[in-house]
Amino acid sequence: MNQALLSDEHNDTLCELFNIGMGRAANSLSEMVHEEVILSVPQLNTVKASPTSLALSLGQSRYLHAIEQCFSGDLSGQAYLVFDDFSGVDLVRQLLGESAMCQDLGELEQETLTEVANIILNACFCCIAEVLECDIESDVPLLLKGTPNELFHLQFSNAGLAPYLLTVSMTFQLPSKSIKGQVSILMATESLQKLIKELERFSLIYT
Amino acid sequence: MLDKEQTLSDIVLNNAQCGLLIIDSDYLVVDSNSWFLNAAGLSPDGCLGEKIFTLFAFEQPKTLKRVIDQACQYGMASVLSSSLHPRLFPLKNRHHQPIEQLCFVTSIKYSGRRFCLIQVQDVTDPTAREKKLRHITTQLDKCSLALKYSPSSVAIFNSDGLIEFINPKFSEMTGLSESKILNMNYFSLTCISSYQLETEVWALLRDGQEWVGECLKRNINGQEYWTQDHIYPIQSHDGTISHYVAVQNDITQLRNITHEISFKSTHDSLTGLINRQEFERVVTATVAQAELATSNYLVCFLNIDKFKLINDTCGHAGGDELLYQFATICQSHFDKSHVIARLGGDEFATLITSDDSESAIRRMEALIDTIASFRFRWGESVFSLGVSIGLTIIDETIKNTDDVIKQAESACDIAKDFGGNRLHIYQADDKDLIQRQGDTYWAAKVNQALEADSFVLFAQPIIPLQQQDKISFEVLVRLKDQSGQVIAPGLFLPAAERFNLSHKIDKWVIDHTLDWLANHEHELSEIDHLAINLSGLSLNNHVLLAHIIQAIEARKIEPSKISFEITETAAIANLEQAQQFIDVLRCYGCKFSLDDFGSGLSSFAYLKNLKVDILKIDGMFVKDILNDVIDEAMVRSINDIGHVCGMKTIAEFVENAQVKQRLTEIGVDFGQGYGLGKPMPIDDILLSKLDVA
Amino acid sequence: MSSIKHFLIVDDSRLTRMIIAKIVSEHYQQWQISHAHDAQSAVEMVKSQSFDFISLDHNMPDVTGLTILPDIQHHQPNAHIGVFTANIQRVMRQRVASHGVSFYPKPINEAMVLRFIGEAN
Repeated sequence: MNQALLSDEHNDTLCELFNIGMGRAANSLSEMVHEEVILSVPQLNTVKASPTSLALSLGQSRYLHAIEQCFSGDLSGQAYLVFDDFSGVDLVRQLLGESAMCQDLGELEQETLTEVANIILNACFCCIAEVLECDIESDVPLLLKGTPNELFHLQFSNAGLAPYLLTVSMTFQLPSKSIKGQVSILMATESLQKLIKELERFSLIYT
Repeated sequence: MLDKEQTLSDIVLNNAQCGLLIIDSDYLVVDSNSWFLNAAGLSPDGCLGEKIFTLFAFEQPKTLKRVIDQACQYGMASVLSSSLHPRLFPLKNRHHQPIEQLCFVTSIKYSGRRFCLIQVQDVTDPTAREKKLRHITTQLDKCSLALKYSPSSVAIFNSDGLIEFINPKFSEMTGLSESKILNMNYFSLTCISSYQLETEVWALLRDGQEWVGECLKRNINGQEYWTQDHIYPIQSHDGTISHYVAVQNDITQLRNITHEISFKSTHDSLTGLINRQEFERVVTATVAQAELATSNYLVCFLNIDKFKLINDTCGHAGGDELLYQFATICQSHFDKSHVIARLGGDEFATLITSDDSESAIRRMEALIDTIASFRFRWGESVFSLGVSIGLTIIDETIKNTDDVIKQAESACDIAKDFGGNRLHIYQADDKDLIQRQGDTYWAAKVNQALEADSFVLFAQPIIPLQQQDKISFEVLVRLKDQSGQVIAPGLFLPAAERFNLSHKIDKWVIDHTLDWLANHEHELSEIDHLAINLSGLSLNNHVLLAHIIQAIEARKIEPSKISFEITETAAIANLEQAQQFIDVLRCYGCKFSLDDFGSGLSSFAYLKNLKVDILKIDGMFVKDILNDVIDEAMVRSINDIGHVCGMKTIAEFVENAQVKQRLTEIGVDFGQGYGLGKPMPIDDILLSKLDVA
Repeated sequence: MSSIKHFLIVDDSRLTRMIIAKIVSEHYQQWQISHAHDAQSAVEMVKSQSFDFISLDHNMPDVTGLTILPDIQHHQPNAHIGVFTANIQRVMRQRVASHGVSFYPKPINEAMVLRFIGEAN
């Protein structure tokens, strides 16, 4: 099914766009923490969103922090930056330079995490918008937290019927901790078709 | 520029309780609301058309630039948190306090252009609250971690004693799960040695005081353990007490170690009995309560009669074994309510509690019988034992522990004086006995006797067992006290030795013996020689050596008529000087004999180095020669060795004709002992020699 | 720039390789262009062939570009090398500079590629 949705070429192009977006995000983060942020190569996967695929995409985590950002325009859907288990907590503590004794995030820390996710997601979408020369708008980010089940229900009910799920997994490492994050984008069929069209249009320029 | 006409939305914006700022893609301020202007301290016209980066100095202008770009170029919304961007804009509230801000950056479209709308929220209060909460939470987390990993078990119980909180260690120590422990009564939980004083503990706690103590407990598996418990009340600020904290530390191991250390410091390692220090402590405690008690307390001082002999014969290992066996006999003789101690060496002591002293005395006498019937075996040898016991009763006249033990000890000395293997009871009103107590008494007596010339000479015959030899005599010293009673040297010689008086006695004996020889010059044809005992101290005394030669010269006495007896131990103590002493007198013509030969283990080794003329075989080998083959073999080998070294041999302790007969067969040259002739006043020897002859 | 040059593009992204190849071939029709889709094949190619220009990606699935850069420099001492990467952090730029190589932040555009080629003169 995966192949049917996005060709290898589409995949490659999207991956590179996310790579560039993450590179910018990492640059912004490294300026904030005055430390180098090490990035992995993003892994992209597109599947039809179903309860199973959503659950799978969220992995085996017990507890998640996810930052939701709705986007609209030429491309529309919901983007989520999901942090495994306590990766989000670790990330915030690292950024704020606090020791992580408690596993719960306070309000201030939740805002911090929201901002970090916002930086990453914005960088990715700006890159897509810039390179593909399309118009995308995003809303203010929202922090969600809970078990994968709770989050999944939220995501699924927000996405409408038969949406596609595009997941980009990546890890970024701060000096001492490896933080795993995943960008998941839920898109309606027509939105995905629009994306494919944009990708093909872009590819044509270079072939 | 936006339309400046006052619209409803303008009014709304200017009354909004957050800051609003509109910036275009060139970073110019397009509009702002009153809240923002007030907080930033700007006039309504002061910022319009100004570049945001010239209006304010930002710590990280790049971030703001990025979010403005993203909003104006791509329509991206952003959040700028207060924690990552503290006080992004230099805003102040009405009280001129800096404002913590949370900024939402969104993109708005107007007239086909994108603008950036920044909403600034005052989060000063939530931030402060959050920080405080975080601080408290962090502290709490630390406390809970401290409790969780604490090596001490901690429980909190309420005023009914019911447990409301425990830490994991508490569970671990009791072996019970938390759910089982909660709501149990703290005092009923697993305590064996029980807080017998539970009510007392409660009284203290309710009074706001703490309680510390050690308790023996048992966990769910029946394993016992000791804890040190510290229970204290928690007082609320109004002074009332609602809960109590109990901290327990497992001190089982510590207790075991402490117990072991205290056992070692209070017990004798050889016999396992308590040592002198501990015995004194026990006696002190007893003395202190003696007047309160209705029972009688008796302290006995026990001394093994022939210990030195056995120790010398069997070596230290044998001696130790004897002490151990002796201790075992004593322990089985008394039940646990009596205290038995080893004071040191072969000295033991008991503290006996008894309803009447008569039965206690009988018990001690029974011990003497038990010891007397006991045989100590070491290798091939069998020894019979005796014990001398001094007994004293603790009464109100006792002032201190030292007195009690000294009394018992002196009573024991008297028991020994009377031949040992007996009990002597200390009597406070017996003047003689009181006086006999110390060495100082005897030292004084010796000094008096030296001044008053009240020593007397005795002599015991040394009988030739083989026909060709002549009779000799060993000169012995006795003390005649004011009442005319003759006192054996066993009583005063040890004291004389301790007070460095023995060489004076030796000198006295030498002078008087030589006088006697000079006076009886013509009656000595049948006598080979007179043997004079020399103490160890005299052997180092050059003055005495010179005196001896002078005295012999002055009296014109034949030197060979004199022999000196020295003990092996005295000679060995300072071998070089002793040898010099011996050599000088032997060259001069006097003889030397080695007394008590065989009593020391090293006898044979020293025999090669000590040049003497006569070996006196220790009496302990001779005594049982008829019954004990080992003794006989010893006598034989000593005799053989003596002869090989060119010495004559004398057997001591010849108690009867049979012994004499055996010794003659063995080839021993001389015999000495009650069976051959008792000590007699020296003048009598001129008569007695006729009898023997 | 009359002679025929050999251009090697090292990048795991097909898109990037295509973009660079298109720009180069549009301006220098005669030039020979080679592609390496990962670090290992790039190392093998620089051992056996000679290149005048090498564009090197940093973030690749097997080994990073900077790891193989010294190897490439060793085998191609005369090649003009540029690192083209999405990792635009300052430390990254410094690291690239320390190898004596120019840095080009992704996304790649025509001006960037032409500037890179121009630097060789």
